[in-house]
Amino acid sequence: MNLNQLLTANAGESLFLLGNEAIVRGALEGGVGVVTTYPGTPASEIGDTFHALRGGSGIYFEYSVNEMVAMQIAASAAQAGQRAMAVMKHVGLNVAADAWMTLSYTGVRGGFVLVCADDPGAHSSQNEQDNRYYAQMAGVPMLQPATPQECLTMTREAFALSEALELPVMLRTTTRVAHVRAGVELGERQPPRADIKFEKDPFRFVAVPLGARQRHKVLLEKQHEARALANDSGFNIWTSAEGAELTVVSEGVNRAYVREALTRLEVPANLLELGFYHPLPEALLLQALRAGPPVIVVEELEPFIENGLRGIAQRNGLTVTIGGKYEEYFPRMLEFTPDVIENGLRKALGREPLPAPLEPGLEVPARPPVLCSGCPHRTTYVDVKQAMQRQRDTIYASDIGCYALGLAQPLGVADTLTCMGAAVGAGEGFSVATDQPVVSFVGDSTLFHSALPGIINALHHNHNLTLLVLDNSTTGMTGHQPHPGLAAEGSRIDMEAMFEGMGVGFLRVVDPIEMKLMRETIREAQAYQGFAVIISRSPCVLLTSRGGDAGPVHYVEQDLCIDCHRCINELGCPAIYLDDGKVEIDAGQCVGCTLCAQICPPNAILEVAP
Amino acid sequence: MITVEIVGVGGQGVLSASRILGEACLAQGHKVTTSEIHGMAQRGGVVRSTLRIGSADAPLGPSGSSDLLVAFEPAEGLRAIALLKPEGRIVCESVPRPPPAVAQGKAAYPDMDALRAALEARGATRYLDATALAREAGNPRTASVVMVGAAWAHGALPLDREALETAIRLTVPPKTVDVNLKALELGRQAMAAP
Repeated sequence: MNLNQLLTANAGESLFLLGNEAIVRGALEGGVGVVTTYPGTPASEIGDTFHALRGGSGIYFEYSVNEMVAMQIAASAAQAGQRAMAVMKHVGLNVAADAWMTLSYTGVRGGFVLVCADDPGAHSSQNEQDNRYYAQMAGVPMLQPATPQECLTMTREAFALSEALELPVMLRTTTRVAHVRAGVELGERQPPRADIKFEKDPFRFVAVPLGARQRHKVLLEKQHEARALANDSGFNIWTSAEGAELTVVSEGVNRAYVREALTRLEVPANLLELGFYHPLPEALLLQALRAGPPVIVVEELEPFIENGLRGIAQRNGLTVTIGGKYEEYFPRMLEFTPDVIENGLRKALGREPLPAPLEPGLEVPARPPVLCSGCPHRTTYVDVKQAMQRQRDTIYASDIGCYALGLAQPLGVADTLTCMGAAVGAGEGFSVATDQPVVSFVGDSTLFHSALPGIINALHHNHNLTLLVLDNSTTGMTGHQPHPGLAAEGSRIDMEAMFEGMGVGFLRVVDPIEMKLMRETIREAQAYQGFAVIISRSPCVLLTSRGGDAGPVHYVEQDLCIDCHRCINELGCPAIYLDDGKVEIDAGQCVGCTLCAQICPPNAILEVAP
Repeated sequence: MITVEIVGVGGQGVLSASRILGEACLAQGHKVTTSEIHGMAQRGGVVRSTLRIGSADAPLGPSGSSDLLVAFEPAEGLRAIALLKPEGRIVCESVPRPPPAVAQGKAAYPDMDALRAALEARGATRYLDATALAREAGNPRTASVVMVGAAWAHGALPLDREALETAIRLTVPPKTVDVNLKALELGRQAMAAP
């Protein structure tokens, strides 16, 4: 499969698609006209695929500055009558929540789909929040696919559902579904609408209190309509079994794990598999409750379905046994595996748990992710640590991106990290509450995404801290997407001019590999009373080394090496290793950044002669 | 139904190998899913992809049920060993890639003889130096296709050569098709009777 087939393949053909790619084709079949996103794993491939196809798709696509703006753009397009989609990871919806919570009041005219990717297990995230509550809180219909095929079908149908109700629709995926690849049968593509004209309706689209109260009533009335659609939806599947011992209600990828586990256990069970379950399909859930056997709810993260089910049972005077999280059959955290599900079902059935998986028998060393060899973030961190070595109580406020890996030893330059853009506000808080020196780190894409209000606040209140902008000229962690500081996709925002315009009194731009200059600049910034900004500018090493722009490979001249191991103990560079007690450099991994050569006391690290 | 686990280190080509095997299954007319985690874990971290070939619709199977373990790195093979069914098969790259902490003297890598014995205790294990074979094919970056050839042969995967070649043509850059086809064959030959 090459990505262009998403545009060219015909109805009835099958392609081997990632869940995320199937969502793209589903949107093309749903006639989407405007797509916006801010990249975030596990949703990134959706935006990247639209980006790759943008020339031929006839669709407006952009990487927006953040999720809030992405949602505002797509939502307005839908209010004007276009079919639109905003794409983000789960925590991205926190950024966009202000728009989200009132969009359901105003509603839309063209179909609007929010694709929102949860990350049970926090494989690439700072938390495991359960965004189904965002559908509930906003009163928005929610679809949740279990397979790449459902990713396509549900996305396509979500546009029609949104238009039928004039409400946004949430398509909630999880990491396992977004990143499963399977054969997917395609439907017919629909072109985006042309000649969109926004028809004004201020009492609907201007959410002042008077309008808001009226629209809240409309929203609540629409819940009944949406619930009726959920009850009749083909995305919810009831299967009864002869002599059922259990009724199992499940969602997402867990539906398939449940079916396989019940087969292994040889337990006949009624199944209610949910794909359209906000609002909860009460008639279907009542059918499950009245089927007879105890009802077990299998859902990742929070007891969302389970709490609803218990409420329905109470309102209908049913005393059937319901089991799930409260009985601790299933955990409220981490991604579910087939083992977790089988053990939960065994517990519910009163059976012994599975035997523990076999241990490897030998200790296998951990392999945490690390900064790449030659990564400019490592160089900046070494500069900062050297500059601040007499002030060991310096607080390092970090942010979201590859540079969070500065947490790991031997660097150890991350003391706090919560969310996108947090480093600036957090640094301000520490500067207010303590007398400790404060250094905040923020990446270039994150700077534009959400650090700017914090910076304006620091300047306005004259908070005393140093902000290091780790400008590697890309959005590194999520796969090298562009951002507003680059000219690749549009007009470039000049970072220095922006800071000058804001009135930053201390502003320097330094390449971190100029180590002496950077150290002096950091000390100067720390001596400055107020908010100091240093832009540490050096492109992502994956871009430079792939572009054939790596520097000369280095080696250790063993006659000069004094075995002090500073290079090993201070850098954590994956290219440097010990061979029988002697330091060596892996020529295959060295990209010639010169960091180790610069910190080597006897200058024993030299360039390999060309 | 056949479950294949492919494990290794970020950057080694685990996901490419999985993609090629998946496309080959589709070309052969098998139902197939592949499943993996992308993102942060790939910065030199552990990578695992699971293929389920045949009737399965869940992307992962339970512990102790996988038929074939394809390890791009020996210790990563051992880390994933609980997934393998009793008397499953293992294809293992023979050259270890210790994590940086080991190379820097801050953690220990298992003794290679003990590691091999631990793998062999769990299944019929064959080793190959995929990077050397890839170099022999003409490009060290084809090591993941060498591993595909070895997995195909040792794992007795229900795939014709034609299906694999179709998959390779679909997934690798057009200029590298020939060298990748050679890599596939070298991987297959490495599993021929010793």
